[in-house]
Amino acid sequence: MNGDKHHDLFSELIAQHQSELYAYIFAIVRNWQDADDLFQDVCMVLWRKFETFRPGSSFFSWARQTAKLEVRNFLRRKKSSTYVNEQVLDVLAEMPIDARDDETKHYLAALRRCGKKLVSTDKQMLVFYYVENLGSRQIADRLDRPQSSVCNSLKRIHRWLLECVEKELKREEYLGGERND
Amino acid sequence: MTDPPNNADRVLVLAESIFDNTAAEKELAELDEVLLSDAGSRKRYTDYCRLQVALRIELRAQHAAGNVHRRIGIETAAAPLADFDGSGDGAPFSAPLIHPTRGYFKKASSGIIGYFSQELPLSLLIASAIMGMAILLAGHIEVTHRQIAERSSPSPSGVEPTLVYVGRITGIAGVKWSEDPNYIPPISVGVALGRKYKLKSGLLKITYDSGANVILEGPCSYEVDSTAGGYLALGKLTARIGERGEGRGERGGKAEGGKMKDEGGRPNAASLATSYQPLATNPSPLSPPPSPLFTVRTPSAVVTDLGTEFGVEVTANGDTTSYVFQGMVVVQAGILGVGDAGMRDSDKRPATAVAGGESEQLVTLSAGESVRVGRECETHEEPDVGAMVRFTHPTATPQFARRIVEPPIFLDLLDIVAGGNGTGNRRECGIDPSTGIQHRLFSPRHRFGSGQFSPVTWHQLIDGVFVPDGSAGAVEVDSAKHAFDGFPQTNKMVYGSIWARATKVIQPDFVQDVELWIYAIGNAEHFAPERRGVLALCPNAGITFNLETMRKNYPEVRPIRFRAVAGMADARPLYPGADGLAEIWIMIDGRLKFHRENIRPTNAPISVDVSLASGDQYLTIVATDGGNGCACDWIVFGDPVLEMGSNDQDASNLSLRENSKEGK
Repeated sequence: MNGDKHHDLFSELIAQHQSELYAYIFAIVRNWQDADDLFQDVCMVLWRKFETFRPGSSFFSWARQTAKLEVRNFLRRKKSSTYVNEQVLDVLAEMPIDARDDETKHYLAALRRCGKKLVSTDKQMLVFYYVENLGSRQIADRLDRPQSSVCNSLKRIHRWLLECVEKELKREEYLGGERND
Repeated sequence: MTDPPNNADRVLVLAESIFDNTAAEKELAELDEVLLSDAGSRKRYTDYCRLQVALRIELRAQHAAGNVHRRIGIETAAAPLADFDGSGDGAPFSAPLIHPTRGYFKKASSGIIGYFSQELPLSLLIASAIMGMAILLAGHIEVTHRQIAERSSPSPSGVEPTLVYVGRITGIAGVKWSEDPNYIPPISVGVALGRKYKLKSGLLKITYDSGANVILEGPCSYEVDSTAGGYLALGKLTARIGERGEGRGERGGKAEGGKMKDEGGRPNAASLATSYQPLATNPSPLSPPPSPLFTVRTPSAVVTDLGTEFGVEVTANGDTTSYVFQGMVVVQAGILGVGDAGMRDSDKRPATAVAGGESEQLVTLSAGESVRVGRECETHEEPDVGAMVRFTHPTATPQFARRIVEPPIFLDLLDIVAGGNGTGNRRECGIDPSTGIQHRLFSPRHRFGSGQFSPVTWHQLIDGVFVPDGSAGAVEVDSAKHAFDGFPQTNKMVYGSIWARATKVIQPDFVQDVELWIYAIGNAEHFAPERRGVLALCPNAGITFNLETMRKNYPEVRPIRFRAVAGMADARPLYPGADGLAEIWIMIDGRLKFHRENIRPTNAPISVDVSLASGDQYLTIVATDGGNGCACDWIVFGDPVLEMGSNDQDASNLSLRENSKEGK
């Protein structure tokens, strides 16, 4: 494979699986800033080692294993009590990969369907939280609501979306099965 | 009375408290414990994390997409990011909005915008992913490393700027940023219009999409403000434009064969003034007009490429010195007008009042020539429009960094054993373990060791070799006379060469020749998962590498760990009665760091991972027989590398690990 195709394939695979890979990192460091830094470092490691990836095999599986050392070094280097401990890092890296987890496309589609069902104030709160990086206190100021109310709302929205996405994915799986039949 | 929450619910409660920043140590520990003990909780936790990440990516992508619309004059009826407003599953914003703009997006082929030119809904899925990727890979640098990625025009709160990439970072050497010395930017990160790079020290290479290469030399401050140039506020840079004109824009320079007209040894001022506008910067990041010539703007001058390589230096008071290595440049004098200081404005047009009159505004420099543009009267006050500047010729030749020699990430021990410096891919060469003489062919015979350490004089990175035998006491393992007294008694005999072999056997005929055991073992991919190759170390043999010389060769980095996959290749298919049994040893300066005994061909490959400290001098790798002679003890070290890291990397964090799940 020439360099350009090699690069293109890598970019394509990273784009396809960034959500899962980033989620794996986020689950370990549990804050956006470190996750951004580590994700960037991991992408560079994956690029350097991309020649060891076998096309046709699970990119996410390969990426998760290949990134493990980099992640471990990061945890040791930065040391924060909010990070998972190294034993958890190991078990997270060994988690079985659900076929559905390998497909960002279906997950995002399910999330969008669920998102459309949210009321406007909930949507606005998510925008404040994820796009504008506001904390619960700042959101409370914007919406003129108590901070505790905002915290509870965010938890409620997340839990509802979690359940909704799960249902949507199961529904899609069922419909997909019917179509395949 | 309510039921106690099950683990899956509990894990959510704990996770929420962590993401809320309200978790106590006790809750952190509890979450780790739950995650370790319960697979269902792990699934719940990772699902929750994935949801948050997907929301972040999706909402930001929609937000950025909404901004693209607004930037080109299409207002959405409602803020798309606030509504999850896709008309279809794949669309984060309504489909009709995309079609009128499709042609425009196709034209804007660079950067993330081009992805929107494709059909929905897949296009928008990809757009979302790429948008998110761009935000994470590039945009987030603004958040977490704002100091190196300041924008010349700060965006309104909550509005993601659209990034237009004009090149990439292609080289880094010892870079320290002015405001975050610990941040190391990854190579290949995109360089967007408006990015400002403030280096405290070190070298940073930017390769423009046009092909032009700029090496920034810290301390400096450089802003990428066009597709073919930038604004150097302070410090030094070297710009190298392709010899055939690569690196210049589409118009002007190329149209004229890459050279400007020259009148009387001086470029045609009219053509400089009329054929392009080097001083203009692009006000719209969505439609950067191609600049015809590569141009570096400074507070006191505009330096325009007419040739292939030049350097520019700006001092703290704004004086500009230009030097030409190859080809020609035009230096146009001028100083910032009132209100232009601070590099914030898109208009960095210098005033062009020059001592001596208009005819002396331009100076053309050829290879080996330099000129300084300085203020007529140096004061601490900002100069007025029309203030005078003058040209002077420096008495000493300015010094510029013209190349970046990037330190290696790995040193490949196979390359070193085969005669290379560790950064190449040499194979199929070796060393006589009893004498240290270089072998060009694998030597299929037995040798007896002298009992002495044999220095390798033909390679500075290999200290020497030896045949270990513990029957006479401690064995010298390096030229510093570090000795190790733990080796077992051996038969003092070694078979074959210490040999660097490629993963794939390139001489198929050798596979059937059992005397050439290193080829008879086949491709041995299980010992070389990275496909680098295998190092043959049939007992009884030891080889020592010189870490200190490696540090001298690459002063910006040092070996931080030795990694390999070790094991015994199986001789039984060729020798049914083979009874291979051996031991492997890894030592630093004579101190044992890794040891594995009773290695048989039935064992799984062993992952060897030994950390190296900054003061370590010698790395020694040894294989000894297991007490039954060295016959068929086909020990190999696959993919043997020295991982290189920065000098300030904390080696104490890199604990000695025997990463050998299978081997235990």
